[in-house]
Amino acid sequence: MTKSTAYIIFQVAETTYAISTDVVQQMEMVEQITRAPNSPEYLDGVAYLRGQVVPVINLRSRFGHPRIEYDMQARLIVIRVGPRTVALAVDRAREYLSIPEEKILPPPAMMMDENENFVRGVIALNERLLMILDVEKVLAYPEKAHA
Amino acid sequence: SDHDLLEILCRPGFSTQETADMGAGRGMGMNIVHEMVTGMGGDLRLENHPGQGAGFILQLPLTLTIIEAFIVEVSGERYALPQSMINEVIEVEAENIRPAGRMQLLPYRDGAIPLLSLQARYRLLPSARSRWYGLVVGQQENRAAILVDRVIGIQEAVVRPLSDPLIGEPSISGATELGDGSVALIVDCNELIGQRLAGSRLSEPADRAIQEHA
Repeated sequence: MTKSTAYIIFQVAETTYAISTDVVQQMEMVEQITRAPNSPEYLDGVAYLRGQVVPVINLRSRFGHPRIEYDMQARLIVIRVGPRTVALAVDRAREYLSIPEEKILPPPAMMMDENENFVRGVIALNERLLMILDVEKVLAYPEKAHA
Repeated sequence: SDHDLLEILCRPGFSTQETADMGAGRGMGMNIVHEMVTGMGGDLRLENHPGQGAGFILQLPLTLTIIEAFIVEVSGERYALPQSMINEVIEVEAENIRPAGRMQLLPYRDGAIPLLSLQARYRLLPSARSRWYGLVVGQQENRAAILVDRVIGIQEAVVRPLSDPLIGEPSISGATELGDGSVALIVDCNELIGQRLAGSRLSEPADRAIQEHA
């Protein structure tokens, strides 16, 4: 028996990604988002989710794709990493998979040079390709000039 | 009972150690825990299961900071400004505004007061208007008027901290929900004025932090 990890599967700009459930706190429909001034372009703003005000990263924009209007399938994946709670806005998220670790391959070297460096592994599963999200890189933020 | 046992454990000077070393054994630790927890309005309980272990349960109140806040609108966005920071609200007509170098001044009482446009500071969409409301903050020479399009009202606001580094604007450190599910960011007026004193530009929105990730 090999060890399996549970992943939430989601889509951003026609690409399928996987995020470990270890960091996922909850999933939400997209409702009101308030814009936050002088923040990175890919930050949609902040949302009020279950008693907490959480910044929302638009993953399309984070990955360099044009934004699209949120529709009924859009979801916020709320993740918690260390002291930070952040929501990731994705096009769709409706699957949950348990994936054996042996199926996870390192990403092709070419992918690492491009904007695709938000991927830390690739899963080949029944003719599907899933990109494992590098959460740390997604959450990295520019140094503040004011600090 | 467990309750009585806890009381003994929390007595100052009670220790199961014969001798104290550098770190422990003086019988103060649990006493301090008890004092701090009850001091915060919380509760300390003990669940003792001899032979299996003991659980110490700390119950702390979820402290909510509630402030009175002016809810204002700028370029269609709503913000909350703590009422305690606002001295008064004045009407500002475009024809009364006097440019002074990089600043804009308004005659105020016997002198002049610098204007601070939230629309410019927060890089919001400019709106065609010739009349604003100015929320006067600060004292004496630190006084300034924060320009907004509209004052919607005053309401009680539950402060939700917002400290994620992705929030690039230093005068935003909290938010509050407005009852309709939407969120208004809370503006720290002192931070806004502080930035002015530190020499950053008001009318010219040229902030290095933004250009870097634009």
